[in-house]
Amino acid sequence: MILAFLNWRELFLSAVSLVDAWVLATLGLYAGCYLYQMVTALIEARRSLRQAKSITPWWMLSSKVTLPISLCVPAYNEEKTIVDSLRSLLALHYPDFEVIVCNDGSKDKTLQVLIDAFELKPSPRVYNLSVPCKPLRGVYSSARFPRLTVIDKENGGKSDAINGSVNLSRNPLVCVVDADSMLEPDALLRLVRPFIAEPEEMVAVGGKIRVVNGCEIRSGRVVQTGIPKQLLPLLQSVEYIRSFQIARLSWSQAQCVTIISGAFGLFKRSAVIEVGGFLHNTVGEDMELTVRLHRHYREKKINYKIRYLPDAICWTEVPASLKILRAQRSRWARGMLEVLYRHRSMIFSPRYGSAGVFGLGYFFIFDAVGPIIECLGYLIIPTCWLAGMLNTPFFLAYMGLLFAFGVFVSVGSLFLEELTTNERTKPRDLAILALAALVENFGYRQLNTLWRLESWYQFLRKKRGWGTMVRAGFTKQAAQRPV
Amino acid sequence: MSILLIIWWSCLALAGLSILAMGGLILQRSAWNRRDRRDAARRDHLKTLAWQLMEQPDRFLEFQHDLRAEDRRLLLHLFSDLLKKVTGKYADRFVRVMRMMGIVEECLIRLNDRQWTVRAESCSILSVFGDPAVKMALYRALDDPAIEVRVEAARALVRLGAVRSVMELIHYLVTEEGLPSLAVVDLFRNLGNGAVTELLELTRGETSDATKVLVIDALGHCNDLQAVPALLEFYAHPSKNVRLATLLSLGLLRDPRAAPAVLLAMTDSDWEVRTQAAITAGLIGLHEAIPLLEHMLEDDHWWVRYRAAEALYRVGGRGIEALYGASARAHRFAAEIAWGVLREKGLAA
Repeated sequence: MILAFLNWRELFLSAVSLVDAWVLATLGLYAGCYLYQMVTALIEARRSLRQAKSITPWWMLSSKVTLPISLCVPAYNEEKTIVDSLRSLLALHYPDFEVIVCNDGSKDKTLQVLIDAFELKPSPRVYNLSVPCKPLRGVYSSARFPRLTVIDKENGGKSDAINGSVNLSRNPLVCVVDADSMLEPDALLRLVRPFIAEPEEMVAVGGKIRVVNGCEIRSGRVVQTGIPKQLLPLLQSVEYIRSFQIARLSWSQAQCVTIISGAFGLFKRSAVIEVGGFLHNTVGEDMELTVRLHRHYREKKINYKIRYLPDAICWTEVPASLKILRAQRSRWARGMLEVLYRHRSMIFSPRYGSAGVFGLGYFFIFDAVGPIIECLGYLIIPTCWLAGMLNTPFFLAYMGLLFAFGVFVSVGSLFLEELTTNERTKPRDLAILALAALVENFGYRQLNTLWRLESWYQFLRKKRGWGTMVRAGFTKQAAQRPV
Repeated sequence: MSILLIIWWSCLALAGLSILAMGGLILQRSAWNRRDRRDAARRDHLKTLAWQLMEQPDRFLEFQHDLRAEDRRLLLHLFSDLLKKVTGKYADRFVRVMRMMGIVEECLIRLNDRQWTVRAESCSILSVFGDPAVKMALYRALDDPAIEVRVEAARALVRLGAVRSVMELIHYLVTEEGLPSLAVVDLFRNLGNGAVTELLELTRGETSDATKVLVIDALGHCNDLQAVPALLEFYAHPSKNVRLATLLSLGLLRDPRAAPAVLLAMTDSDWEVRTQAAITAGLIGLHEAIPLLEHMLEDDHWWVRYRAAEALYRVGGRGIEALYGASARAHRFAAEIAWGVLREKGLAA
């Protein structure tokens, strides 16, 4: 019996060693991926800086080669913010652009507010239904604001509203912008640069999304940047910086950008139409379209490029309450799972080049499977510890390494942010962001993992819909700081 | 050393690196912010002085006396920036002041700088000085390893009207793969009438499709009707991009001699070419294109139908009558687009 017990014990110890080795290997993979991303992100940041210096905004404003852009703005129940947002968009610095707002069957007075504010009148504009969208109820334009067109249509969701705007666009480039986001005045001039440098191959370019909470806003513009005063938005700031400054820059360098954010992305109109527009019945419509573009061009063996630019900036408000953040994060993760499932044949497939192997492969390992493994770890490790089966010194060392590496990556992203930014960040803000990078490891990171796991449940239950995002509004942001 | 120790040392190393990097970043940002604030204030002061000097050039010695050693860097940035925005007599005075200050010599030296941004900025500044030495330096800069510097040097030469040969520009700026950047396209569009003969010669030579597109586009923008016969050689070219560029240029030149080519392009197998042909027919005002345009209202592709309807409207008179006729036609596509365009132009309720 004692012998049997010893055998069992040996077997268990071997299993623990195996788990130790596996944990180390996973950590190695994780660290390797991040280190690779940091190096490639640095290369891409330098390339972007080079392009920024060679194609200057002044030249673009004075030359006649800038490509006309249609800004597609889907709006649903936005009566409180839509007028300010549009005034800000109409004041953008770009030689030739139009704004096409699509009122997606709002239940509030969004349309009436627009009609009153911009003196809209019904317009007999001819359009073609190139991509599917619900029936249009009317098209409006304004003599005072000739750049503005408003579509009123039956409710069909965000994708449907974007498709509606794309159908009315007559320009070679369409820029998708959220109605509640704010663009930097020169954001379009910056975002269009890759299309000027490589007019034939470029099909889509994504801009950087930054957190507006804590900034000072006047007349729909950020006049003084700052960091959020509340903890939750502050932690999200660090997350946004890390995501955009490391992951997306790195993907851009490796030609495998698989998300052009729906809040701010520029697309070749013909490419969007060629692949059938934004897909309905998904909450990850931005990622889905980007992946479909990769799929289309790879399958047709046509040269193409999709890039991310770190200096074309769009400001967005992030949730300040856990409830809304949870809904947002679960929805994002669910959208990602839907895309991975729909395009599962692309994951790790060399046929789809770097987009399939690295782009979707990364999402599959780190964002789809990763949270499950992490949650299993949260269950198994305390159990093992309680049962006295845990190699405690090893476990502590492992946790320390994980923590130190997480902070190192966040500091790296702050470094890249500093490299690509045009503004004077306050040293104090930098220090607070670095502290936030430490704090996020205790609780916030674990919550995020749980929400991602929740998204798995929602995905398997085939949950649909967006939920609601309650925003404080930009005017309130302005009130947070003395003018 | 045990694995455990390695892990702990790694933790320590990562934490140390993070703290060092963050500390360095904060210190650097703090120094940069101070420098930026100082530079901005000094730059504003220099800008005021420069404007005063332009009004009273005799105060040059006084101005120079006020300058500090580090001001030259700021002045170069300031001049580079202002040069793009100032025109007319102020631009001339500006150039005079820069010459007095020895900016030309400084830029010529900076053309050999290690950083391409400095070299490109120097090319940009030199674009207002037509001295032989400047032109020679810009010719040399065409051979720069950085494409950005080459484009800036070519732009400066175009601005000075000192392009030696279009072929030379093509050699340094155009690659065989894909269409050139729009910055290069813009440069060629500004070559002006002086380059027409050489551009025409280039259309006859053996060149890549990318070069052909560039040359055809430049010919369309040179506003010289002797380009039309040469352009007519390309309306049936196998490359779609060449055919499109040809039609675009013919539309810009608006010469009725283009009629046969445009009419043929209206039946092209590619919808984009048919669309461009309809636009060109409308721009030239080709009455003989009306029957074909009417037929194009039934095209499978919406953009072809829409541009054909717009062209009929542009042609006017019989074209508009044709639109009214089509709006009552049994063919749904034709009737819809004709009616839609008539409404859009305010010709139908």
